[in-house]
Amino acid sequence: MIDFLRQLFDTSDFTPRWNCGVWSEAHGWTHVVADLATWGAYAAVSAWLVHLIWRRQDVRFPRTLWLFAAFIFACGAVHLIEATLFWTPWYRLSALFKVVTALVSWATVVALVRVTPSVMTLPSMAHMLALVESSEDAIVSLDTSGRITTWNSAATELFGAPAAQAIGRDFAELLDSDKQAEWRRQLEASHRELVTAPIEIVRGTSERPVHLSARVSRILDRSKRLAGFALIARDVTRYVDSERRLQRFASMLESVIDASPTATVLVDDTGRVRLANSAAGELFGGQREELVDRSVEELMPQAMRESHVALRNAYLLSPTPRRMSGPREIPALRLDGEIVPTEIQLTPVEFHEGVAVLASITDLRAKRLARFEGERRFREIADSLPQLVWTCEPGGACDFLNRRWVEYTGIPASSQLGSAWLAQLHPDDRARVATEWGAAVEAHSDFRVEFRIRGANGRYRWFDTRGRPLTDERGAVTKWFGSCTDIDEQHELREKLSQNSAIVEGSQDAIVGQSLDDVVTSWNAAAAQIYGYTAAEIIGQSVLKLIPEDRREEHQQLIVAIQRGEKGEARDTIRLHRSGARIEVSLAVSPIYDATGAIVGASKVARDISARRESERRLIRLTDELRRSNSDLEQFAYAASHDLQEPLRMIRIYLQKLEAAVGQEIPASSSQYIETCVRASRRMSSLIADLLAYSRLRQSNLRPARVDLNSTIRAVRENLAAALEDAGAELLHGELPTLRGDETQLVQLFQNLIGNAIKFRGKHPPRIEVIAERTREGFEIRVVDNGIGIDPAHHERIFGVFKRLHGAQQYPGTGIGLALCKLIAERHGGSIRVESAVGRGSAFILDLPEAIVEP
Amino acid sequence: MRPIRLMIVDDNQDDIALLTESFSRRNASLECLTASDGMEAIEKLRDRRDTAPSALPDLILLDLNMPRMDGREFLTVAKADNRIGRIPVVVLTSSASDADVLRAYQAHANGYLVKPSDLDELHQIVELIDHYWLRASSLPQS
Repeated sequence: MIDFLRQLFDTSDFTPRWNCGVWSEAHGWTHVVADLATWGAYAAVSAWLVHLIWRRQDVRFPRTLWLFAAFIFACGAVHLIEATLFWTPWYRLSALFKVVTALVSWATVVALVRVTPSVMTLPSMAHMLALVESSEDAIVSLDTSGRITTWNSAATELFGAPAAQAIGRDFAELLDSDKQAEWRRQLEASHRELVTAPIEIVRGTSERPVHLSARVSRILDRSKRLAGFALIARDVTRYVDSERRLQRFASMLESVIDASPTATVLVDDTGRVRLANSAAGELFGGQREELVDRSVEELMPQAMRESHVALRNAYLLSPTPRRMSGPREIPALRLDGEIVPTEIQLTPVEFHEGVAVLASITDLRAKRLARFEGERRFREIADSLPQLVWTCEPGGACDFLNRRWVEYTGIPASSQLGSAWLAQLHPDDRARVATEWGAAVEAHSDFRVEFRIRGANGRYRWFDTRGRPLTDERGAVTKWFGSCTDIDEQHELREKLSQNSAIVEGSQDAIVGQSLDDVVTSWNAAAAQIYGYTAAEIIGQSVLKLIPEDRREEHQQLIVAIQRGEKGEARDTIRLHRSGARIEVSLAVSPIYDATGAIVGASKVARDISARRESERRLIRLTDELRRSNSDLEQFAYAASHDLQEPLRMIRIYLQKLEAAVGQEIPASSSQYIETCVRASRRMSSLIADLLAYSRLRQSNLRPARVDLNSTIRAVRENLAAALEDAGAELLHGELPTLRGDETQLVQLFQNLIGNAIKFRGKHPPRIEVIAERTREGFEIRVVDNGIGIDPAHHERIFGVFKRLHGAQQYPGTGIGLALCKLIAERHGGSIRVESAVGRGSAFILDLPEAIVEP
Repeated sequence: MRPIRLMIVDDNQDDIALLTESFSRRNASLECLTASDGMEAIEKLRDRRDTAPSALPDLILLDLNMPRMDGREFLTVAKADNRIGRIPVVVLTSSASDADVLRAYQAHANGYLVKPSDLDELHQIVELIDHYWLRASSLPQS
C-alpha cells in the first residue's frame, strides 16, 4: 500500500510540463489560470448544491442531487491537478482522479435516467396553485405562529377577506372572539397531532349562518420539525341543517322510547348502549344518561359477560325479533351492584350506522313482588319489622335486606347482597351456615339455623334464622323469604340453663319439676335415686304417684300456695318410693315462672331425711330416758332425804325421853354421851334437810318474774337482821338493776352470800357491799366483804355440795350454801366465781343475764 | 260428857306411841283410835259410820307418806263421804314442802303441822292440838 502511494506520488519518470515541449510563458499560464478558474467554479457549484440539500429538507430527489454535487466536485478536482502538472509531474495521481470523475459522472447519468419519470410527473407550481385556487374549500397555509402565508380564493370567499389583506395576519383575528380560545387550543394540539378534530366556525349573519368545519394539519420538514400548518375549511352549512333535522327526529324517537313504561335500551352492533329510556334508568338505578355509551355487558353480572359477547355477535348474523327468556330469568346488574331478575324482548332496528337492537327489559322482581301487594309495600313491612328480614333469589343469592339488618350491621344493604352477607357472620359459624344454606337451596327445603351476626358495635349476637322457599304454580322456587330473630338473651339463658342443669343433675337432692296439674316435667339423677323411677318412666306421669294418700291434701295446699306465688318453707313430709316404701323427706317448693312471669309449675327439692329422722328419734328417746332417769334420781333424793329424817327424829326424841326419864339416875358423863348422840342426829338432820333443799331446788321449776335486786337485798337485810346486828355488820349496796328471775331463789342466793360474809368475818366488824355493773349480756353483781378470805387453792371446790373449809365447831354449817348459790346462778343462765385471798376479804361475782336463759 | 275420840293415821308405830302417850298424859278422857295406813283408816271409819256412828272420832291426825293409801288419797276419799267428811283432819307429817302443804289443803285438810323434831317440839305440838282442836274448837256433833 505504501509502495502504491509512493508510486502514485512518484514523479521521477516524468518531467514537469513546463519542460515537456516548448511552452511560451503566456501559453503555459493560460492553461494554468483557466484550469484553476474552472476548479473554483466547479467547487462553488457543488458547494451550493450541498447547501441547498442541507437547507431545504423538502427538496425532491436529494440523492440525485448529492451525486450531481459529487460529479461537479470531481470535475473541478481534475482541473486542479491539471494545473499542478506544470510543476509536479504526478501523472499517475492525475489518471486516478480522471478515473474517479468518470465513475461518478456515469453514476450520475444512471441516477438521472432513473428519476426522469418521477421528474416528468412532478406538478408544476402553476398546476398546484391552480388546484389550490380552484378548490371549493378554503386552503390556507400558516407559519408556526399561526400567521397566514398562503390564501386561496375560496378562503377569500368564505372568510370575506382578500389574499392581500389576509396574508401576514394571525388567522385567529379572523375568528369571533369566543372561538379564538378554541382555535389556540387546536393549534396547540396540532403541535402533537397530525390532523386535529374539526373545529366548527360560524360565519355570516345570524339569519343565514354559514357553518364552517375546519381542520388543521401539521406541515413538517424532512427532519420532522414543524414548518407550519395547513388549514382547510369547508362550508358545512348544508350538513349541519340535515344533521339538525336528524337530531330532531332522533330526539323525538328518544322521547317516544322514553315515554314507554318498559325499560328500553338501544344497543348498537358493537354492543354499546346508544339510547336508554327513563324506565331503564330506573331499573338500573341511575339516570338514563348514565347508561348511554356503556357496553351492554356492563349491565350484567360479571359471570355472563364473556358468553354474552358471543351470543350478541351470533344474534347480529340474523337479527330477528325475539324474546330472551329461559327457565331462569336474565340477571341484570344495577349500577349500585344489585342484581335484578329480568325478562328481555329484542327488536332489531336498522339505523344509519348499521343494525342496532332495541331491548325491552321487564323487571321480574317488581312483577313478582307485585304478587305480595307490591315490592314497596313488602319492603315497608319488612323495614318495620324488628327482625332482620331478607329475601334471596331462587339460586340463593341475597337480593334484599331490610332496614333493621342494615341498622344492626351498620353496613349498606348493597354491599351485603349476593353472598356478601356471610362476611357479617361469626367466623366460627360461616362455613356451617354456608353449607346448610346451600343444602336448603338445593333441596328447596325450609332453612333453619342459628348463628351469630356482627352488629355495628362489633359485638356478635345470636339469631334464630328461618328461611322458606316460595314456589310458583309449577312448583318452581321463585323466591326465598327469611328472617333472623335476635335470640341472644335466650341463647345466653340456654347456656346458663345447661350449666344449671349440670348443677341440678349433680345435686344430692331430688329436684323435680311439675306443672300445676301435677304432671312431672323434670327429674334429676338424685330423684331417680331417691324415688326409684328413671326420668323416662316418670316424666309426663302424675306426680301423685310419689305422694301417699295421707299427704295428698298437704300437696294440694302446697300447689295452691304456689299458684299464689308463695314459696314454701322447707317441711318434712312423706313420699312414696317406687317400691311403695314410705320415705321421709324434707321438701322445699318454689314456683316456676315462664318468660311472661306467669306461674306455670312448681319446682320441688326433696332431701331424703330418713336417716336424719332416725337419729333424731334416737336423740329424743335418749333425752326422754335421761329426763326420766334424772327425775327418778330427784324423786329418789327427795324420798330418801324424807325417809332418812324419820328415824333420826325418833332417835333424837327417844334419846331425849330417855334422858328425861333416867337423867337423874345416870352419871354426868353418860348424860354427856346422850347429848352427843342428840347433837349428831341434829347435824344429820340438817345435812339431810340441806340435801333435801338442794334436791328440791333442782326439781322445782323456775318461776320467773321481774325482780328488782334492790328489794331482794332489802328482803335479805330483814331476814338476817338479827345476825347483822349481832355481828355489828354494815350492809351497803349501790343502785341495783331489775332483771327477770325467780325471786325466792335470788333471795336465797344473796342471803347465803351475805350470811357467809357475816359468818366468816375477821377481826373487824363485817362490811358487805353489793355492787352491780352492766355487761354485754346482762349484769355483773359483786358481793364484797372484808372477811377472812379464801385461799385461791380452794376457789373451785367451795362451790361443791357439802364442801367445807373449816370445822363445824369453828364455823357452823353443812357446806351446802355455796353449792345452792352456784345452782341458782346456773339455773338463771348465769355463773358465779370468787376472787379472794386469805385475810384479804372475798368478792363473790355473779354474772346474770338480763333475761333468764333456761339451761 | 262423852269421851273425846282422836284417830291417828300413821305407818310409824313409834310416832303413834309417842303421840298417844303424850295425848293420854294430858287428857285422861281421850280415846285414841289408830290406823297404820289410809286404807285401814277408811275401813275403820266406814265400819263405825255404819254400825255406831256415835263412836266416830272427833279429829283425825293424818300422816302423808304411807303405804297402800297415802294421806292425800285418804283425804280425797274421806272428804267425799258425807258423814266421815265432816270430821276435821289435821295433817301431821315430817314434810315441810310447800307443795305438800298446798296439796293437803286442796284436798280439804283442816290443818297442817310439821312433825316435831325433838321432845320439846313434841310437847308443844300435842299441847297445841289439845288446846285448839280438842278444847277450844267447836266440833260437829254426831
